[in-house]
Amino acid sequence: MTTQDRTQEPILEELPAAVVRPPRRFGLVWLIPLLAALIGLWLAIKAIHDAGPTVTITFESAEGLEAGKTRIKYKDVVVGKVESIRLSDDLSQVTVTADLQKEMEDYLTETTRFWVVRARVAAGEVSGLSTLFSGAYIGFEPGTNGAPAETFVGLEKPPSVTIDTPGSQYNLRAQRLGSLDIGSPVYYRQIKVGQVVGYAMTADGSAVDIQIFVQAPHNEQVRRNTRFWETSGLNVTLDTSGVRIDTESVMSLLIGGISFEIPANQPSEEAATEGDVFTLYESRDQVEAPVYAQRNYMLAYFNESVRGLNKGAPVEFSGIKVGEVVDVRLEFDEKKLAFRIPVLMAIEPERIAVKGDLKINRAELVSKLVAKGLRAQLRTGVLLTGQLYVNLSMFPDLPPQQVAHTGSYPVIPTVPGAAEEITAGIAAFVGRLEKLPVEEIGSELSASLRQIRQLIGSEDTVAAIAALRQSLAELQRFTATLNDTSVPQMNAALTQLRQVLARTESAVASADGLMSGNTALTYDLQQMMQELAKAGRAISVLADYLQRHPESLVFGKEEPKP
Amino acid sequence: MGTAEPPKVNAAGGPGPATAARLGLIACHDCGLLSRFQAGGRLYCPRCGGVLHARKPNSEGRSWALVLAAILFYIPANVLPVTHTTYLGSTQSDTILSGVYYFMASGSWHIALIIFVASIVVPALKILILAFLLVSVRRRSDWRPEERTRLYHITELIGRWSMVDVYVVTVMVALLKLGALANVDAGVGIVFFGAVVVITMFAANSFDPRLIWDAMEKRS
Repeated sequence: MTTQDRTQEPILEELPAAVVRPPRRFGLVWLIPLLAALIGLWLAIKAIHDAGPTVTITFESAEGLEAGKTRIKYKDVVVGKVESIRLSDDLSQVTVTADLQKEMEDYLTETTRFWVVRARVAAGEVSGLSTLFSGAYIGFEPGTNGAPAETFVGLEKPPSVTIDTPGSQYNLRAQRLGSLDIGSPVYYRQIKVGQVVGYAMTADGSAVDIQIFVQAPHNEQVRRNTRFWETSGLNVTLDTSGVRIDTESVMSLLIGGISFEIPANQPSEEAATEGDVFTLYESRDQVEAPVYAQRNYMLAYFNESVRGLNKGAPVEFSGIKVGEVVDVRLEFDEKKLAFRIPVLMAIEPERIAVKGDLKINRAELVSKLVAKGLRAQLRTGVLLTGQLYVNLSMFPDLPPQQVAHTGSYPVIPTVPGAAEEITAGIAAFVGRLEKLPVEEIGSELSASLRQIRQLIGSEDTVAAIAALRQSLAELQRFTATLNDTSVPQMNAALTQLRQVLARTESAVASADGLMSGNTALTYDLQQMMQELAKAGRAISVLADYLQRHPESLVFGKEEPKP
Repeated sequence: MGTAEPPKVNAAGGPGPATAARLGLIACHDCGLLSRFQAGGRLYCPRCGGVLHARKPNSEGRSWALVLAAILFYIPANVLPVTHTTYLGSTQSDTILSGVYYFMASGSWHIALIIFVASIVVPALKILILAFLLVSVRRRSDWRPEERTRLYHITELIGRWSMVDVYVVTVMVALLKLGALANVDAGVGIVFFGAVVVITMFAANSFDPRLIWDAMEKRS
């Protein structure tokens, strides 16, 4: 590109020279790597900035987990991913390393929980079915308090209540767990409002503590006097009031559950605070049975069979329950060589409304009542099952009796029960029947018969029969004469009578024609009757109207509304 | 490289083969007119007014810039996922390399090979070759110019084939839309990958192979 080159080539001299213009500025091409660098830098910064915490979770098994694939989800939003799965050093567990999003950093505390969500078909719940297709994922529940942590122990079962569910937790103390399990429903008025979240034996092993969680706003229904009872399965009760079948729902029939309510006879107290301890009753009956603090015990000795009288059978007074049978046993009196059945009854005096103030003491009251005729009686509650109950009743006709005492218990005298009365009546009847002098009656009867036979066979009888025959012959003769003389006269009299009757008939016929024919008289009569009937109807309408609108007497008849 | 090679006329005064540059001539890309080289600023064709340049303007610089950009984009292209595959509810993100691994693991090693070669080896090779050519040109190396020119041709030729991956992803995304059953979404990585392919093609295009031979002429 030197000038010498050009001069040496004459052909080239003829070629036109290129046009020269001032050079342009720096190439825009460098913007591309600059842009690339900027994007790369931005990506790098973003990657560093977004890099969330790495956590280590230990599980019993890595079933369904896959490194690089399994997600960590919170409320079904992906918040992290499993990076690696290793066995722990002693091969007893699986250590899962997972990267979480940066936003989760603040929620990784001691209370943070991780669990594997797999398809679970357990009693009362079917969950995680979506994982059948998508594979398991790790559920995550953010922790809100406690020290920050990086290592966690994964739960084997999903927690039934997540921390963000509003509600309260309560403790129930029960004698046994029954068919309850974690996740068993808690019902209030048969609506599921919570569930069992845990249970543990008390430290001394004497009872079971069951933790339940009641969701808001139903937790407000848990008051300090709320009663909880177990609705496990089916509760069939057979007592004097018949057969009762209690169940809360089909679900609880299968898996059990807990119900709660404020007893109907109590006002609701202030709301319970979280963590309060309640007693878990075994059945609704136990809850609903009002608790009477005062119990007076009485004894009654029955001589009849008490088959069908159970512990807890009601003691009624005129059909109203006043207490229950506490104990039934058999006693043997060695001296008298006799058996008797003392029935211990608990009377709850609070069940009885007392008019005025009760001034006399209990023992005195009982003896006074017994003196007035208070007796105990066994009665059949349900005829079919033969359940018995104790009936207290006043029998003023019975001779007054004194109250005996066995130990500290007053003894109420007894009267035979209804069944016993019937039996006794039949027995008395049979006894009387037995006393009848059957043989005597028989011998007298045969003597009478013999006398009759003698009478028939005697001469007097024969003579009487001959006389009778004679009298009959005479009667025959008398009838014959009567035929010959009296009958023709009677015939004539009858003919005359017939003529009179015929005449009477024609007179009646003419009277009939007068009444029924189309004569003016009958027509007038009919008309008059019809008019009278109309008048009667009008009067009745008027009376009716007046009854409904008595004011029309003063204000006149109301104009009919269109 | 659509530029016309200068006719190999034997230059009278020059020691080497005659080139347009040596003769002080410049050809117009638009109308083919030869004109004499003039010193100074930018040259224009006296006949049609087209821009004249003896070598591709700023070839080295442009190529360097584009190669650099390609290198920068090559990293996210391989690190970021190119596809998000949802199959029966579970979503899986794949980078190019994990896709290759997946195909290899599932037994389709030939598909794995195609993807590996087309999507990983070729772009990397292109970048390396271009970088090597640029370095050699900068150092005015006279080492095997013919082979280097052939390398350049290969680079230019195979460049477009890397787009296979982009097409595959595009077609898959368009075809596999079965809702929750199966679904494929394009990842960000494929954008960077496409950028790498396109930028390397531009880089190859902006490189002037005559620069390889210019060094030879200077030596001789």
